[in-house]
Amino acid sequence: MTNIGSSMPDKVNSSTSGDSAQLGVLRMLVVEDDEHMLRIIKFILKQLGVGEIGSAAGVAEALAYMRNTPPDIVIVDWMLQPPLNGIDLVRSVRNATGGVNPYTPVCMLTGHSDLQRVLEARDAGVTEFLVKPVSVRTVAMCIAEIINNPRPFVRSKDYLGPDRRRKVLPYSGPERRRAAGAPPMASPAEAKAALSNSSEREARK
Amino acid sequence: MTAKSTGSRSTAATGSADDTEHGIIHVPNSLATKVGSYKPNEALLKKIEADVGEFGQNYPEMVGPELGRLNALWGDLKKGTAAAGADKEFYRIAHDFKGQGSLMRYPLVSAIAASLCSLLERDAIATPAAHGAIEAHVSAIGAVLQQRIQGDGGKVGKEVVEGLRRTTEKVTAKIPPARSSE
Repeated sequence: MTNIGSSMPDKVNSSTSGDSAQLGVLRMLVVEDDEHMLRIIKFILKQLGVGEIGSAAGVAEALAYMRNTPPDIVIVDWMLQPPLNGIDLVRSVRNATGGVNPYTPVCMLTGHSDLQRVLEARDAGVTEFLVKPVSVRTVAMCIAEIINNPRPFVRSKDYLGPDRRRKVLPYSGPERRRAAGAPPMASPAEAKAALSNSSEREARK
Repeated sequence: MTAKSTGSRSTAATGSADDTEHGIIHVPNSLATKVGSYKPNEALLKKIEADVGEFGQNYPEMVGPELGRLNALWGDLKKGTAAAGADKEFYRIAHDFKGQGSLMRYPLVSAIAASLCSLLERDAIATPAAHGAIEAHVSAIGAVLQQRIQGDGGKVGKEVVEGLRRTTEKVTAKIPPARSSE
């Protein structure tokens, strides 16, 4: 583990106040092989008040850490020393057996925000994204999102991970996901009309 | 303990499932139990930002070895004498600069390194016509660090980034889309 305060100005080791105590109960793991970036992220977490911050430079080390000292939240960089990367870690966690909690929130640190990569990370089961260059604020907001708005998990034949739907939005188009052979689904307008008619019938009884 | 329920068109949370089956697993929110509702304190965020900026005062010295390695790798790559995997290491260092710079108050480093990464993602190393553009990026990163140019570098900084962006666009227009490096 890196000594967080080793090369910091004295000022930054001063105690913080406010919400720092709130995060003191958290244990976080940062998986990053760039020592400078690791030091910065750990420094930010420490200043935010996170109680325990572990680090790992690669996937195997991270999984070993997670087995021994299960973290509350993991931050992992997409790009790690080959051959394995951050996506491999997310997949390993979600498919984990033998002591790793597959529901651990994982925040993906990435230098890319293009759709293809976002979809790949999402399909691997990433909980949140931190797009580089990160800021103190984006790190804090990522933690807040994980704590305040946790997603339920979805398990299907080929996916275990956070529910990809953040909001339930009204939809008026055709239902593409209807199972074969199932009766046709009503459009929202039809459903509303049906419910309304049903209510009126109930009221007349 | 986790509570499992089936989705609107699902039959099971575990076990065999066809493409339409899924289970919703409501994992108890232990973080909210431990922490409560968390809203970052604005004053604390500003203080940490200032502290990180102070940390960045020594950024050019901190990344001196990486800058040296970037230059050395580029020297070997352009001569064709680089060891196997040197292109990947070159990209990794550029990618690291991209991630670090802004946080350390060197956003010019991030901007130039981002442009370099986009070049490398188009197999620019294998394209001799792109070597001048790569060299310009490597030199620019070195110049920003040596002259300790924090912030956006003012008018000159903007012109440098814009010039590199135009060069990159021109070069990459001639290179077919290539592999992703991340």
